[in-house]
Amino acid sequence: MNKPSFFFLFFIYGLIGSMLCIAYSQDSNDSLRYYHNVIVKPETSTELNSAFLFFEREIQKQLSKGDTISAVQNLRRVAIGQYELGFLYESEATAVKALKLLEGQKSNVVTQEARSGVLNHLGIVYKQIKSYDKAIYYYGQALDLALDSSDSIPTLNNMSYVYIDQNKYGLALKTSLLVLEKRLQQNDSIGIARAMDNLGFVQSKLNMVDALDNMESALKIRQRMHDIPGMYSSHHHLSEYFFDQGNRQKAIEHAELAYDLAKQLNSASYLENALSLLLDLSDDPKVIAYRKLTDSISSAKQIQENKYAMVKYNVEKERQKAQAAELQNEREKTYKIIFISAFIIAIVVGTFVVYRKNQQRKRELVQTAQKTEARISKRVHDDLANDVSGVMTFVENRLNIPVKMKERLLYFLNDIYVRSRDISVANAGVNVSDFPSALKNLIAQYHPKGVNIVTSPYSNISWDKVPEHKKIQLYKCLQELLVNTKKHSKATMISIAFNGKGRKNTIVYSDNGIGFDTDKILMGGMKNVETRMTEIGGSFSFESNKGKGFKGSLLF
Amino acid sequence: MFQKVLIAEDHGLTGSGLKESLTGLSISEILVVHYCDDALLKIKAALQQGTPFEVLITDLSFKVDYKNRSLSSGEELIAEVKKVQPTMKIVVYSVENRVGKIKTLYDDLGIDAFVGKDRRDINEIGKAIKQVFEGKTYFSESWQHALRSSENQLELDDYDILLLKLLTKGLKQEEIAQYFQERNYPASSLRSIQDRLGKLKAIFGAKTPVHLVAQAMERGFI
Repeated sequence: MNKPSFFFLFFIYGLIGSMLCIAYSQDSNDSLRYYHNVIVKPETSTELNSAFLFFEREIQKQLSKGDTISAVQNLRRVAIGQYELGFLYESEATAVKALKLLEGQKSNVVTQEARSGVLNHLGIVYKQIKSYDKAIYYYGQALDLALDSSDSIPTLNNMSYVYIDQNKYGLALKTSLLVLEKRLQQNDSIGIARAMDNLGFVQSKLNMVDALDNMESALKIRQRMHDIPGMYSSHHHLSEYFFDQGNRQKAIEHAELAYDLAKQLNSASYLENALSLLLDLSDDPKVIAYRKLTDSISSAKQIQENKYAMVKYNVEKERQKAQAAELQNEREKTYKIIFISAFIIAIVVGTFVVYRKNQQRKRELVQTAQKTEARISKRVHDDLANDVSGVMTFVENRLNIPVKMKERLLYFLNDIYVRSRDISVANAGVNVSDFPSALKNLIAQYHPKGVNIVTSPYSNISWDKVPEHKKIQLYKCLQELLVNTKKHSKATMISIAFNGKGRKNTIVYSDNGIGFDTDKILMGGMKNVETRMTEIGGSFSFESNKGKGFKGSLLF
Repeated sequence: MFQKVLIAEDHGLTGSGLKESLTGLSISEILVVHYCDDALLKIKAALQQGTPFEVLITDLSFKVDYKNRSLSSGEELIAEVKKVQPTMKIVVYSVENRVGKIKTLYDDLGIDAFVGKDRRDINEIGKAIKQVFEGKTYFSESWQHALRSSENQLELDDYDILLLKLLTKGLKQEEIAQYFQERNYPASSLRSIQDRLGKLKAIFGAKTPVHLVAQAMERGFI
C-alpha cells in the first residue's frame, strides 16, 4: 500500500508553489512566471529543460549582482523541478546550496519563509529516498521556522505521511489531529475536509471508531464544495478503508466512483492512480500476482536507482571538487602572472615617469638658464651699450679736452661699448624657428674675412624633430666654436658637417687653424660647450694640437 | 639735401649728439623725439600739414618706463611708418650687431641704412644720410663683409656628398659620371663631374682625389 503519497504530495507542492508565487509577485517578469508554472505544475508542460536553463541563468545573474534572495527562490524552483524529474540527489544538492546561501542572510519574514520552504523540501526528498529519520528531522526544522498555521500545515501533513509510511500510526494520528485543529481555526472548508479525511484515514489504520465518520463527513463537505480532487481523495481512502475492513463490495464501489472522478478530471495521474486502485481490489489471482511482482520490481528498481543516483552524485561531487581544485590552481597561476606583470609594469612605468620627470626638469633648467641669459643680455644691450654710446657721442661732440686725451678716452669707452654689446650678442635670445637660416646668420656674424666656410647640407638633420631648447644650446655651442676660430685660430677654412642617422645627430666642426694645446686658456670655452651639450643629454668631444687645426663633434 | 629729418632716440645724450653730427649737412629741420608713439604722431601730423618728414633716424630699443606705449620698439615704429608714408627714408641707428637681425631690417623692413653705435660707425651717419639722399642703400663698412657672408658660405649639396662617397668606394671619374647618368642625376657629364671634383678639391684644399676623400672624412662630411 504505497499509494497515499499521491494526495499528500499533491497539496504539498500546491502550497510551496503558492508561497513562491508570493515571493515573486512583485516581479513583473513574464518568463519568470511562465517557467515558475512549468516547474510547479510539471504535468502541464514538457518544457522543464528550458525552465532549468532559464533558472540557471537567472541564478548566475542574481548571484553576480548579489541578489541572494532571488537566487535562493530560483534555486528552490530548480530543486522542485529536479525532484519532479527524479533527480533526487541533485535536488538535495540544490536545496543545500540554497540553504547555505540563506545562512549569510539576515533573518526576516522572507528569508525565514525561504529557509522553512527549503527545509521542507529536503524532508520531501529524504522521504522519497526513504531516509525517514532525516525527513522527520528536516520537517521538524521547517516547523520551527514556520511563521503561522498556513505555513506549518503542509509540513505537518508531510510528517504524518512519513509516519504512515513507517507504520507509526500513533504519531501520524497526533500530527493529523494537530492539522485538523489548525484547519478549524482557519475556518477553511476545503482544508478542514482534507484534514478530516486524512485523520479518518489514519484512524482507520488504527482501527478507531471515528474513522469512517470523519472520512464521510469530509466527503460530504467536499461534495458540497464541489471539490472534485478532494472527492476523489475521499473515495480513494474510503475504498481502502472498506478493503481493510474486508468489505470488498464497498471498496470496489468507492474505487469505481474515484475512477469516474478521475475521468472527470481527465488527468493521467489521477486515472493511473484510480486504475491502480481498482487493480488492487481485483481478486483475480493473476492480477494479484502481477501486482505483487510489479510492487517488488518497482521497489527493487527504486533501491537500484537510489544507489545509482548516490554513486552518480558522488562521482559528480568528486568531479566538481577536482574541477574546483583545477580552477583554483589555474586561478593561482593567473594571479601569479597578473601579479608579476603588474610588478614589472609598475617598475617600467615608474622608471619611465622618473626618467620623464628628470628629462623635463633638465629641460626646464636649460630653458630657465636660456631665458635668464636672454633677459640679462637685453638689459646689457638696451641699457649699458646705449648708455656708453651716449657718453661717447657726448665726449666726441661736447667735451673740450686735449685731442690726445679725447682719443684715449674714446678708445676706452669704445672698448667698453663693444664688450657690453658683445655680451648681448652672445647671450641674446635665439629665434630658432628656421634653424638653418639662424645658423647661417650665426656663421655670418663670426665669418672672418678671407676664410672659406663650407657646410654639408643642413637638411641632413631633421631639425623639426629637435626640440627648441636643444637648438638654442647647439646654436650657443657653435657660436663658442666660431668665436674661438675667429679670435685665435688664424684658420683659412672652417667646415661644419651635419649628419643625422635616426635619432642620433652629430655636427662636426673643424678649422684648419693653428690649433691649441688642450691645457690652454681656451679650455674654458670648450668646457662651456661640453656643459651645454650634457645639459641637453648630448656630448661633446674635440681634438686639437698646436699646429694641427681643431675638430670638435657635437653629439645629440 | 633733405629738409625735414626726424630722430627717434630715447637716450638724451645720443639724440643731441646725433643732431650735432648732422649740422654740417644743411638740413633745415631736425626734430628729436624720445618715444616711438611720438614719432609716429609727428610723422602723421607733418603729412597732414603737407610738410612731411623725409627721413626717420631711429633706434631699435626703447626703455620701458611709466608711459603706456602702443609702439615699444624701432621695428614696430618702422612697420607703422611704412604703412603711413611708404616713401619715408629709414635710417636705423642702433647697438645691434647681429648679422641676422640687421639683414632682416634690410630685407623685411626695407630700411635704407644701418649705422652702428660704436665709434667707428657714429662718424658714418653723415655719409649714410648722403648716400640715402642719393637714393642708394647704405651699408656700414663693418657690415658689408658679414652681410655678404651668407653668400660666401658654401653649402654642399647631396650630389657633392654622393660624389665624395663614390670616391671612397674607389670609383673613377668616368664611373662616377656613368653612375650619375644611369640615375638621371643633373650635371652628369664627365666634364661636370670633373668640375664638381675640382670645386671640392679647392674647398677642402686637397691636391688629389685621395687627399680630398681623406679631408672630407676627417671633417665628418662622409
